[in-house]
Amino acid sequence: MSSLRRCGSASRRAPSGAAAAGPPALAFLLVVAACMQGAMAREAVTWIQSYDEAIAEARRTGKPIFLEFRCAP
Amino acid sequence: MLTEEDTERGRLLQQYVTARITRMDRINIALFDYDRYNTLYFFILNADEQIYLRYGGRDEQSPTTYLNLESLELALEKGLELHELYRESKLAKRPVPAPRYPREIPALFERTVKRGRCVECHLIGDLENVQRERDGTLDKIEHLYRAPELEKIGIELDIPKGLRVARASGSVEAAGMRAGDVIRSLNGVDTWTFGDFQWEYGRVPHTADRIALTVERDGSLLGLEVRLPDFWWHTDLTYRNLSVEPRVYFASEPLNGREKLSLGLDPEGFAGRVNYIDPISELLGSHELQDGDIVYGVDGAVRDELAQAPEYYIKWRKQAGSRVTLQVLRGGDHLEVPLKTERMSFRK
Repeated sequence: MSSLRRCGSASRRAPSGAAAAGPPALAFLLVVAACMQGAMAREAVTWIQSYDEAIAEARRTGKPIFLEFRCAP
Repeated sequence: MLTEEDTERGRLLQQYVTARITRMDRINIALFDYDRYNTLYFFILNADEQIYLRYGGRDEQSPTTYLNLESLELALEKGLELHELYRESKLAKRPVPAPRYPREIPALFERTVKRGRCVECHLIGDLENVQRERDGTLDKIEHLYRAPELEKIGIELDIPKGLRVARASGSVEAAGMRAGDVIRSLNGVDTWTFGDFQWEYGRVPHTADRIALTVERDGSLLGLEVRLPDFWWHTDLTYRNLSVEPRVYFASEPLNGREKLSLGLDPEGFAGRVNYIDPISELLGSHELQDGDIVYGVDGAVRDELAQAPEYYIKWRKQAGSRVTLQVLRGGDHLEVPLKTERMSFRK
């Protein structure tokens, strides 16, 4: 790290979470959460819960995979 | 709505196999490497485990700043385009990293896997660093600061448009970037989304002083060499609750050279004037610092090649939970003030 100059006083913002997110971002999370709970009508896709099954399905159909990682179910 | 069938997103998603993973137990974390402190993170890949692109990323303020339904649609469209190229053998195949699973991290195995508890993404992020600390391989600067902020180099994105630049200032403006440019690569690696860009940016060695960007402007590609400002990688880690970062419960404002000389302190030292004391420090018995104290040493050390403030010297050079002695100037008197740092822990 010798090529770096020393660090100035860094920002010390308070921990932030959803409250810090703007309305569009919150809407995104809420929509995804609603989808997760199967609460929406005319659901277009089925979410596979197993990575191995997703790979097998992609091999069978030739489709790419849209893979989501989320912290909590 | 994200997946309703009569929306554009619904139509796009129907061309995919869609999978949602909430437990990381059986996931190859070498292949799916990302900043684990994202609430949501997406990959588009194929059955050969070739990753086309990522969608996700965050800033220090929020895990959702860069998540947007419009940019998600762009990513889904790009994923289909890249998949077609791959099927036509027009996309180079990349080596898949050797598998590595969460159970192979001993600290994670003991704490979570062995007890049958859920292996969540952030636990991997935290306990991987705990393991590095145990092994003596933890490099706090490289391992903890994985999500550099674009604003530090002057990039403000038009978030719904993916990597389209809304405003360029500072380092990138000096390099020739303009509003309307679309970032296409970083150090020669294609970047299709903000997730791609931030991941590659976080992998740049933190000692680097420049990066190479390619932007698309008026249908042409243009190379830009961007000089990185000092500490371009530094972000506030508070939200991450990293258990390897000591909690010190005070903050200070660095003194300038003249102030240090006038007080008889090392002009190159990291002395700082205390300007914040966390109220919880009294409850925890962390320290007895007072507002206005000048902390000029930690366990006898008064300067550091990186840290300009004493709290950063502690965060970067000391272990969480350790006790240190601060050298303090208070009203003209030199004092030794003990400080007990804390090690945070997760709820699971």
